[in-house]
Amino acid sequence: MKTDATSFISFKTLLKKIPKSILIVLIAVLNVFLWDKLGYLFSSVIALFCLMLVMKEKKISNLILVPIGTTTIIYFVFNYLLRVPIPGGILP
Amino acid sequence: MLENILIGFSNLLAPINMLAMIFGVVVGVVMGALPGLSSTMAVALFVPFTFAFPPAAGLIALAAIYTSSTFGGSISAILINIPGTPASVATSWDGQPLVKQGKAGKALMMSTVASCFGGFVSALALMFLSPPLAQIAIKFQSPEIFALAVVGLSIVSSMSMGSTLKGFMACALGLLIGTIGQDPILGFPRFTFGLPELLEGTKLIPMMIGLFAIPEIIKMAETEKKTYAAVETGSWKLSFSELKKSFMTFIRGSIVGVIVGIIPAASPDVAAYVNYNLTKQTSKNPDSYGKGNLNGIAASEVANNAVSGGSLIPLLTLSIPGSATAAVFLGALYIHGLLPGPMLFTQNASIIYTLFSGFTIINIIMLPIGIIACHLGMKIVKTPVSVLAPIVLALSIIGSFSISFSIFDVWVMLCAGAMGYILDKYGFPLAPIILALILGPLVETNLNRTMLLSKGNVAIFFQRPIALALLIIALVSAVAPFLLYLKKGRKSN
Repeated sequence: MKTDATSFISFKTLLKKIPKSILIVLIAVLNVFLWDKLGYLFSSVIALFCLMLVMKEKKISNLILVPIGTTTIIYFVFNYLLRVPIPGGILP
Repeated sequence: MLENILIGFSNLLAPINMLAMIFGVVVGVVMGALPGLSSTMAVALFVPFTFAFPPAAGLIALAAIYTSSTFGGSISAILINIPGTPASVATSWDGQPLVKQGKAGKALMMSTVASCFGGFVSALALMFLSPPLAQIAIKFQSPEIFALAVVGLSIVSSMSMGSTLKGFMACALGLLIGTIGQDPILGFPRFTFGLPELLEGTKLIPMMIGLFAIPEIIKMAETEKKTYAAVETGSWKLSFSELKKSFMTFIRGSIVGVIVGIIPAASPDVAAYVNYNLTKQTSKNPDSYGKGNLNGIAASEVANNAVSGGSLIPLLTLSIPGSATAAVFLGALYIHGLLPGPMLFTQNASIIYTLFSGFTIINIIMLPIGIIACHLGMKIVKTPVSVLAPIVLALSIIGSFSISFSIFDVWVMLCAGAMGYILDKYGFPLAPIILALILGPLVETNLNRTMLLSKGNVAIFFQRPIALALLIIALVSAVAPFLLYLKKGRKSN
């Protein structure tokens, strides 16, 4: 148990040591990479959530509402209003 | 010409064009007011949205975002002393003292009125100056177009004042990226690394979104969170005498702004500085500037908004973008299938004159929307970056995807973004890359055509006076900043 805790802490400190610029680029790359696998909605929500964590957003309501809200609004505007066929993945 | 203008205004009554104007102004004011979002980025991010619009409405929406984001920058410049866009730096000089005196309301109102006035005058200038200028350009053939594009590239020199060498390096990088794809004359694939997606070259919009949005997102993450003190707005009413006092500033600022806008490479911030100093020098008590003079705000805002219309004049007639934002606007023109130049005013007269008339109306509807935005000012400005950044990221990704529905473009955008961040970190200006990306193919194609015309003899440029004159202008504008720099250096030694 003790080793688990220390390894978790060291993982956290390790995350802190990675420059934010690299983390953000990684999140963006992951987002595009997962797009094919999980579909736009899931990949985007996950990526935006991670981005907000990196940016140290503390408010739980923002952490939940912003990624989901942004993704769904963009999905509906582009898919239905602007007629951009966004690959849905899991969701049709 | 008059009938074209009338046709333009009547086209504006179409609901889609009305919608485009209101949409553009609201988006522009809000994006401009948010610290960290530049007007270049605002236009780049919203180009994909305009695809679904017909060309005229799309261009009107982008023009509205362009001009109103310049105004929006003044809201955060006044309220929290952080200019939303570089153009509003001079506004913050008098804005912050006025806030401390409890006159934020008056400062915001003055900035709104001045912005609308400057924008309106520049819209008139755009409408009446560009058709005659286009007439001059009608005689241009490949050698002249080549020379003109070189003039456009030489602008990099003054566009990147202070880091001219880095500006040219960025420009060279842009030219290199511009050569990716099929050779325009021979059709031979270059630098495609066997990827079929690269045959048609890197697409402009993903490059622009990547270069201007991704570095900003990373910068937002790197800055510490700030809390802003609440601002006493005080009275919102501007008295007649206050407006009357600033009237001369309005007129002078509009003229300065339009002229600075027409000169390629001079950006809105330059116009604001120039007019601020002019106003200060001609004023009776120059000491009051910088200590909360309403006239100072008027001087800066009227000039930086007057640039927006002015910078579109060389863009639409000669395809030379006046500023970074104008370069993005040029990219949007290409996307909508419009090639700037004299033909635009004959073949696409209806679209162009609708844009012109729309531009005048945009600056009128910016007044009420601007006043509402000023009242909501603090709420907009306070939006935490941790909410803003995800939205910008999502918009950049979907925006670059929607150009041609390909994930490859999104990868291009991300690569451009990572490249842009590194370049920006080491002090390289990013606008020259876009300029070179746009003008590079133009230079190459027309040089090739010229050489075909003259059977490979460079002397053709000496037989064509206009081309020769343009090339000399290019040389002067490329070298002049260096000479000025040397002269300054000698003085300080």
